[in-house]
Amino acid sequence: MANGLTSKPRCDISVLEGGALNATFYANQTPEQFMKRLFACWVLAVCSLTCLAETPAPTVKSVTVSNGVKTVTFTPAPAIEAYILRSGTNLAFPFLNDNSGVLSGTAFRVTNTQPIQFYGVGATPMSSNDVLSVNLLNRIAYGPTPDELVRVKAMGPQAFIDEQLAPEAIVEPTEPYTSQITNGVPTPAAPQWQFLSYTGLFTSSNLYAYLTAPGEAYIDDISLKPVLTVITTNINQTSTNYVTNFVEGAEAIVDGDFENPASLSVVPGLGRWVKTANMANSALSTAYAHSGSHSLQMVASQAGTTEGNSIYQRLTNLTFNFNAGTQRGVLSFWYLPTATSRNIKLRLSGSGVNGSGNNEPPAAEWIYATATGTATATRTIYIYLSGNGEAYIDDIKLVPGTVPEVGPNLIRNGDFESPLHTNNWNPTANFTRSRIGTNISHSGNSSLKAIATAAGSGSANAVIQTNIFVTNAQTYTVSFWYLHPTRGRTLTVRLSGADPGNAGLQAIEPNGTSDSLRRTFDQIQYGSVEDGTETANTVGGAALADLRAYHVLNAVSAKRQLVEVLLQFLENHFVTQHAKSVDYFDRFYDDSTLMDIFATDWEYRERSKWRAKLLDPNCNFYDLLKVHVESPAEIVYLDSVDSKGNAANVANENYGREILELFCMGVDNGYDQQDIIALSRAWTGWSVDIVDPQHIDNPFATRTERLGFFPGNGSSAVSNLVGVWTFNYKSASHGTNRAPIWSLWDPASPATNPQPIKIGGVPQSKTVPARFGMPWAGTPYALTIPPNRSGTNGILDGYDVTAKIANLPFTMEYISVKLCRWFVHEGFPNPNTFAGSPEYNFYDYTNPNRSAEAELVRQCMVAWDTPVNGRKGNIRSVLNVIFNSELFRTHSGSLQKVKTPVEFAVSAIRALSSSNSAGGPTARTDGYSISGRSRTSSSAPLTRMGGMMLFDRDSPDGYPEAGSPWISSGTLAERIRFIQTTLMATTDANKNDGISGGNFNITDPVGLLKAKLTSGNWNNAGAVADLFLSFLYPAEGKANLDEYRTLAISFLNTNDAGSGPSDFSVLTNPTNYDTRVRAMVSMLMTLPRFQEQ
Amino acid sequence: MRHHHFNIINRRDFLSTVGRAGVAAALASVANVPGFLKRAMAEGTIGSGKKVLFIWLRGANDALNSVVPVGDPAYVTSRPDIKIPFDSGTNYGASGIIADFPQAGSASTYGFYPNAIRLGNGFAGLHPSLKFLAPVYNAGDLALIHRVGYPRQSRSHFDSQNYWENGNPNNNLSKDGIFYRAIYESGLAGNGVTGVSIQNSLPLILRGSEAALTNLTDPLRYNLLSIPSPTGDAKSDSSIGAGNSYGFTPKMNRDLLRNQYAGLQQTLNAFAAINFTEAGNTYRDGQVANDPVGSGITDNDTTWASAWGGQGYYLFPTTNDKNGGWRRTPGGAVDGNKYVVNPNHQGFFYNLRAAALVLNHTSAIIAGTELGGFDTHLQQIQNGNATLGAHADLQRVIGWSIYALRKYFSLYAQNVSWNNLVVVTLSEFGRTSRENNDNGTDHAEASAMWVAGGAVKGYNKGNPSGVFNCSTAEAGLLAGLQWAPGAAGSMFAIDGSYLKRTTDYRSVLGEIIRKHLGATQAQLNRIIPGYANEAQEHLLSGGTVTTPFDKVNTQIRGEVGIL
Repeated sequence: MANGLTSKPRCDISVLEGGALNATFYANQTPEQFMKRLFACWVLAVCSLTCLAETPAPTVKSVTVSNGVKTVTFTPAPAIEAYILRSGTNLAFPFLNDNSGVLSGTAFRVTNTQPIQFYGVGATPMSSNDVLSVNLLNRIAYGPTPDELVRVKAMGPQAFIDEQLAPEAIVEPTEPYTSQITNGVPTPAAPQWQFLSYTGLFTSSNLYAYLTAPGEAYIDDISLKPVLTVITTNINQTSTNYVTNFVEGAEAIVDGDFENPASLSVVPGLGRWVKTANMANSALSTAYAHSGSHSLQMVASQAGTTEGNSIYQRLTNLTFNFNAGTQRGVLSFWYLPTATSRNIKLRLSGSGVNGSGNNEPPAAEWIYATATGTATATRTIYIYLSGNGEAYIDDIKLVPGTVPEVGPNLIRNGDFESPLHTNNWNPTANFTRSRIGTNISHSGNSSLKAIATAAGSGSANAVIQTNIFVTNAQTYTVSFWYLHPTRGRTLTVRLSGADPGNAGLQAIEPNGTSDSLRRTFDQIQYGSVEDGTETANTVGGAALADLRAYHVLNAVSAKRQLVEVLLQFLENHFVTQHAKSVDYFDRFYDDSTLMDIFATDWEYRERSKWRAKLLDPNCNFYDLLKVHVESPAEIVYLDSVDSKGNAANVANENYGREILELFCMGVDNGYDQQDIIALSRAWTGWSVDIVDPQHIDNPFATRTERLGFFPGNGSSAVSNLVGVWTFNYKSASHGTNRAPIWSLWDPASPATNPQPIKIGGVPQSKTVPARFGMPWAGTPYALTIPPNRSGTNGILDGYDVTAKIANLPFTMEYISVKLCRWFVHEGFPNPNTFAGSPEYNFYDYTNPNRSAEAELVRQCMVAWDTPVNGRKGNIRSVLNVIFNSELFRTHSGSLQKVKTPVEFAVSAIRALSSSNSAGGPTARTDGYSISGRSRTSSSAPLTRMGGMMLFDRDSPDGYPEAGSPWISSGTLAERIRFIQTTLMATTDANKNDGISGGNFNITDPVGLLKAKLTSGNWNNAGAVADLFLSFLYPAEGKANLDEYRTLAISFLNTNDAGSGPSDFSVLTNPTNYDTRVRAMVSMLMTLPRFQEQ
Repeated sequence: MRHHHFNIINRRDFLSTVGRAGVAAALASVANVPGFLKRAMAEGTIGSGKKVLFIWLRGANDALNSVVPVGDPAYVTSRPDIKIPFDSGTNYGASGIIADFPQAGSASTYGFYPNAIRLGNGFAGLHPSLKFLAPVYNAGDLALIHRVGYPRQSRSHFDSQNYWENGNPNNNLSKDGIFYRAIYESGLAGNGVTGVSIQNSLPLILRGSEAALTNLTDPLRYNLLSIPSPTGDAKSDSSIGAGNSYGFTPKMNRDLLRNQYAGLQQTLNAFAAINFTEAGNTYRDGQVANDPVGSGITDNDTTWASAWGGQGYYLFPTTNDKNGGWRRTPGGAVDGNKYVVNPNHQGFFYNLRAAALVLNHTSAIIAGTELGGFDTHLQQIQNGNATLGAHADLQRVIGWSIYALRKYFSLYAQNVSWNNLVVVTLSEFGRTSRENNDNGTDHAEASAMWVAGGAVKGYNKGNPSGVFNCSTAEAGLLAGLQWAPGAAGSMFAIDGSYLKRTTDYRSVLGEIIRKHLGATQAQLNRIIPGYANEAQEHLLSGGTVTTPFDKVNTQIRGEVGIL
């Protein structure tokens, strides 16, 4: 073990005399023990702390005399606020504080006029709670921010732990709730055609389509097909299996695509669409179409309920006896999400196929937007769209200042509860058809339905309100809610000024927030790829660079910091590789953008599922593992995708090996090669396919049959299908298991089909080795999978393995070890089962003298093994053990780790993140400037700092947690350059540093210091140095930072070239002052200690 | 220049004072030697002047169109559209002679010579874009090793690149690289500049946990900045140096950080003395008429040479203006037809030059870079012309690289000369011997390696030919490993159209590491674990390998004997 990791409380003291060593003194007495007691008492007297804070003491290292000056040097101790030198001439008496000389750093200098003396050094440690608070911010968060340091110290570390361990209770403004700081509503929020299908019984030959409330909606491609059951017989070796397959029958609906102009009429008849009186205004629309050139525009003057007030069709194509009410069918259709689309209802007469609950179109999602800007003399607000189309807007508010909705609303009739024209709103030019939208509202009864016949421009071409009570050049903030602008249209709400020029309310950053990114990711799951006319990369779907930026932005700003830290842990533990997914898609596509989007979708879905699990208090390891085994990215990454175990095929062993070695048990920990062979069969058939979007979580879905157009078609027919790629089980490829996994294997059995040793006909299981101790040692753990599962039941083999392996003692141990490495320090070796090996002995839980590290792992296992609500492996229980351990809470945890590149970059932004006196950020990033703007970006800081390609790790073991793989002279140079360019002003010629697309890592240390220091201290070099030292090195202890402080003060008082003095106290030129402070902060952050956490 | 005082004992300092004998014992007695240097280093001579430069050909090079089995009729029938044409007037069956070197006059300056170049071993030909290998080959400094692979070959780029780099076929857990382990065995790891790559990130082959080797995305970035820039450089750098010297209480990574910050200063100082700028790229291939390196004239048309003072071609074509020697009508405009490489690849030569400069001007033992674009599933040829297009462009890069490196390390040698250098290429697998319907080739098995250097035993330098594993009658090669031509012999008909390996890539790298870099056999057994298992893997002397999974018995030749 490295120095002092498992330190016991100790307060030893080294005593040296000034001048020659007195040998007699050491020979005749036992002063060390005496002094230890003496010194220990003295140290404790100044610590008003719990025992956890007991501090390794500083030690006198040498006493030298040179040129009449005596120098006493000592080695520092961790987290010390102040040192004091003590001396005495007689060991029989307590030493006294010695203020005769100058204490600087770890040296005490005094004119050597004293007689021979003994020296000791005393120390005032930091409060243990303060040390722990900072450690928490370094471990369960991405590093401290100035404000979080204050908040966490005030609330106390335990309250912070409790808060972060219940993330579902933390309000997260960046996540589930939509808020954007821009008035240019991005196109991804616009609706795409959505698909719905549901099954039920054929109870009637009459199909109704209606709206459950007055309004309108667009639907297209209605389909109703019976599901036919086919039973086949399959002789499998010795037994007979009946395999049930479902196939779709013939289409029952005529003109479901609404391409026939004669299809819709008011005249009743068989096999045609008939509209009733309340639907009289319905028509075939050429404005929108899911396929072909038409869709059905349903317009209801009143709510429908049945045939008499619907658009209906009497089916003629039925070839089976539907009246029996036993034939199953699937009804599907596409609809265009609008404010009223949730009212669409399609059903068969009677209680047959009839959507309900989740099978109905979802309610519309109102989205909130705000922007802050400056008024001009024009005093007019404009609402307009970027092209023909419509949008709903409600609850628009304009208030003075920068905080939305705080202050008097300067907009009249902003809730649109009164008529437009007579109440201050004036639709002009292309917007004259705009009106109040009744029945649609964010609050109250109505909203503005802005209708554009062509693009607006503000000025005289928008929905306008004039004479707003604003003052030229003053700051205002607008806020509003909006609903589904027509797809492809940008909604703008803007206060006067030129467009998009200098005034009004402007977007502040490209790509804005993590949330606007999130909506882009979600696109692809809702069938964003259109048939025929659109290409994948123009209708949404985000690329890997976007996902990385999203990940980084959340790491910087999420309030649920522990969730973000754990997501990085999970992403890194359960490795998948974007590039390998792209490699797979290369079989079907030529277009690299499209392949990037598909592969990114897989990574995003993994992350989203883990995130949802982590917000569940009952989340256990099985839940997290299950996300991984079902992840299509994993299935491709570890080659299950083509693995076959049927007939003579030999299963691919890649995932079988890695789930044992890397994801659960740890290398050589409780399994052997035969287990890999046996277990690999469980994953045969676990493959991927392209399915309709609604089947995204259905592994038995058949491949989509929808043809479409992707850019750059490849040679395979699959490239012409549109849908989502997801986990798909291929029962035909599945091979049944032939022997219990984790058996004691018979070495004489064939390598391709290992068999267990049998005693009295009973297969023998492996047992948990002795080192585990009670209650685990000796337990058999073989898993018998029922043989010959066929059809879709074969998928259960994999789930059986997942359930069993998730709570094996080896898994409890290995995952606990990895969590300890993540949260405590890197000195937890991998466990293994070879008795006598160092790792076996390290984790011998029967050894009463086991290390603190081994004991912590055992405590994690105990927590793991204790069910919470009936389930083992509760993640929060295990984390709670770690966070309450002495190893974590004391110096043995604090600052023992090196930051990975992503931790380094994110923590650097966070370290300076606060608000300046105007409320603006003092540090921010757009994410891309850290993680890159393309998937192979060589200029991304994370790439430069050692190739940390998020979501694209090329090796299944994940990125390392230890320091040495990351730290080389080349990567250090890049880390230093990252800090330097992040601290540079945006005007600095080197700011960009070749980062492709620009460097939007922006800091304002002067804004930070002016917000935190009283103005009298702005030119006080000592106060400025202390302030930033307290932000950057809050756990080091003030006394240990003495030399850094001296360095910083000297730096502030030296001219930029380093060639001579420049008095900081009179540095008044704002530019020069700004430069000096930036340079000093940059210097502090490039020192070795900022590499640590 | 930056001056800092870091009191770090390194092995070089140490060796220079105590000599090599008894190093291990001496090191063990020194208290403040960093942990990663404490390994006993008494064996082997890695790091004593011999160096390696590697070029990764990522994406899997179509080796059958690089080193063409002209003598096998199945080549033509398997590749009707993408085959390299043969010159009807050339007797490719002539053996024991030097390679042809088509000159300008009959072909344009660089030489879009349209046919396979005769290699003189009676069987094989070169892709015409590899023309500039001929002088290297004829000097005996080049080994072209065909049919290189490993047991149970993966056809995944990802897996196979991993195995080539970690030296452990079929093992993705092994997460440090062959060259890293070679440097680790040198005892010099962590001590200034030892292993360097110039590309996006440190490749696995140089990665390892006990010593962080250096990747340069761009050597011109290897300096620190300052605020304001560039005024405050001295102030900023000296503060970082001073800050590193302060004592702090011990933590797990503080020794590492202190050593690596000190290493940063060493490397900064080392690189500050090298001119990586474009302006510094003045290296040319010498007098055309009186070439000191031998037969390496670039062209027999000396018009341009006269106009430019007889200095010949630029070795590293990093700009249009340096791309090709006689690229101008003298005094006239740049003539794109006279480029030595497609300008798309000028960036690669920027990296290659940096790798060469690092080896030549620092203590680095191994340096390298990578070249992508070899995954030629479709249209590897251009407009039906098999000697033009994507694959041909890449061959020109390989050919010119090796030509240029030989010239550079002969004419400009400082810390390492051509005789003390080995250049080696890696590529994860070969491509299908049958072309596909898209005028391309798919993933297959065995590939080819280029090994070059003054000490290499190629043509007439210990070996009768510089071509290995590509003839029907190679001296010293067992009958079962000779190339078997024709459909019946079926080098082109094996299970999905791939070449089977004859030589393991580990045998080639192993021979380089032991015979050239100076590892002992015991060290090599640690650097490439298969060497420790000669009885089964036969990497050293060859034999019959039985792979544990598919039970296929394969004969392999062991080390090729190129050094």
